[in-house]
Amino acid sequence: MATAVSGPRTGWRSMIPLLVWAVVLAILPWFLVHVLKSNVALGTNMVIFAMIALGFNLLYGHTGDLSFGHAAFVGFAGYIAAYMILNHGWTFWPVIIVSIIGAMLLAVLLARVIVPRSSGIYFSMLMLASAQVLNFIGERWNSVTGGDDGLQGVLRPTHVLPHSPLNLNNEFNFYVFCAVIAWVLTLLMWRIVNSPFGAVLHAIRENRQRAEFLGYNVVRYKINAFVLSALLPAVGGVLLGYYIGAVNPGEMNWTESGNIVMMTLLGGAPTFWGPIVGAFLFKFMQQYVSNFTQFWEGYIGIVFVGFVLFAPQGIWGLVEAGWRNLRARRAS
Amino acid sequence: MSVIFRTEGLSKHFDSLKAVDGVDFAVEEGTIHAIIGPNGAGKTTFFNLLTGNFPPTSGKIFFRDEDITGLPPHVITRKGIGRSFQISNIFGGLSVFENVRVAVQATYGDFPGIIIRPKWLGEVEEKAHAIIERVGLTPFAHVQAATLSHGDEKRLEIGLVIAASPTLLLFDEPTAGMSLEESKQTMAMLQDLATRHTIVLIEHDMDLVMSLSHTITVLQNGRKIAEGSPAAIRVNPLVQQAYLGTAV
Repeated sequence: MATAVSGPRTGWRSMIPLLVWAVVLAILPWFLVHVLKSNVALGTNMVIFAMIALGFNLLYGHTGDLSFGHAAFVGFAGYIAAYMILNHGWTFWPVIIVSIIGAMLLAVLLARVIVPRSSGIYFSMLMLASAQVLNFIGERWNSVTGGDDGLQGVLRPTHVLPHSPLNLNNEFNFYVFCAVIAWVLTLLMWRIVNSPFGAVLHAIRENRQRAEFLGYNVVRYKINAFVLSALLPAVGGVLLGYYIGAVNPGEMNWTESGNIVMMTLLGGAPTFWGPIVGAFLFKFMQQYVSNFTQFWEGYIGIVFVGFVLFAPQGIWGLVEAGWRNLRARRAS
Repeated sequence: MSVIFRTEGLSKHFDSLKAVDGVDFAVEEGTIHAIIGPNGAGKTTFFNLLTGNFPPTSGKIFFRDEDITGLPPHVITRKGIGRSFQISNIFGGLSVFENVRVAVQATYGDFPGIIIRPKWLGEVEEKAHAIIERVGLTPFAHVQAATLSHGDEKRLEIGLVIAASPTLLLFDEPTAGMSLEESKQTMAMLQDLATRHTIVLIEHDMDLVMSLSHTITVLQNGRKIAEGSPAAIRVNPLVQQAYLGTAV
């Protein structure tokens, strides 16, 4: 990957993109409802998948390891949440905390087994296989996972904060809740990517051997990046369970992992904002194109192939390149 | 002068091929020690053994009398041994400044602040700028490293190696592919580095080797065939035979 997205960025200017992101999140429901004549639920779906893709990209775009199994963390966290809600009546906060811990433990286990032993295509395939094992367990362990039907009837909490009027059964309230979580987690990822730790990840992505010969324990860095990259998909998995009202084994299927990869590449893997842009476009096309044709996946595929062939840096990569050219022209 | 680095009977066999075969080698602190030999002599394999790229078949490696045989590269680097490669080994997609900054940062311990900005970051950036100036790349500080000329890439790599403040520097053909002018600049840089570091270098440019080195070790077919001062090596019949096929 050619474009550098490295280095600690500091000062108030570094906050501008995050403020723009907050504005986008704030006006998205209005834009969807009044301009595109769609609904708020689509916005919620877009925001949840933006979060999932952003987390996935810490490992792919920033560290250079392509996982074809990150949907496992989405589904695993979703199942823990749904199981606790349906069988033990747990409320939102204990559910989300335990689900995140569960998914992170799964990430630690997979990272310690897979990362030191594989790289490149072997890493990708081992991740795919691991997610498929979980998918299989989800389909067959009927007493716990509900088999093919999954766990149905996950109700959204009426109150997530004490004395708060934020009833999440209201579609707009649920959107606001997801948007706030997405913004906070974006801030977290922004800090990670632009920290000295993030700079080392970028160095590893560019040249693993040189990073090692500077004295960095590359395997440990990759394990840490792997585990951190599961955080946002785990949160996304829990929110997705509430959003749909159910969890099913298909969420851990390799096709879902493929969709996350596709969103990220579409938006621009070497950039920070690319996965968010890609997830938005993907989910929008999924809903819009499917209104006109049952072959909507084929159209998304054509767009995807077009970007891979003619603009591998993705949509946001094109925007950044255009911005750089504009500044260079102004400077000269 | 004391011996800072040595090997005892170091060997690396790939099936029946003896790439390095029972080499005893010692480097004195504060000197420039060159390793020469015809193509396929085992020089780069020898370097790879010293820096932990792969473990030796037999033999031992000592740095400051500590046995470092079989340690992984990142541990060996942290003990104070830096290395450059035959083909420039830099972070192509990062800027020159980002390259050097991440190299300097390595001396500030493992897993630096993930979320909170560490206090030493300003110091790291100052050091990075100083190293960029030292290797003559200040005008290119914010240029993507992959777009540098070959000579500048090599200089950047030297910058990365010295950023970690190593005691011992291993350079594998530092002037390979350079123009005459670039070679002269690199030679001057190596002389400057030799005032603060011990240097071991593999080099094919005999003028450079003879004018810079205090000691020369000659390898052929994985074995050490001669060792001594440049003057002694120049007239050694075994060395002449290795290079020319016959003694002069």
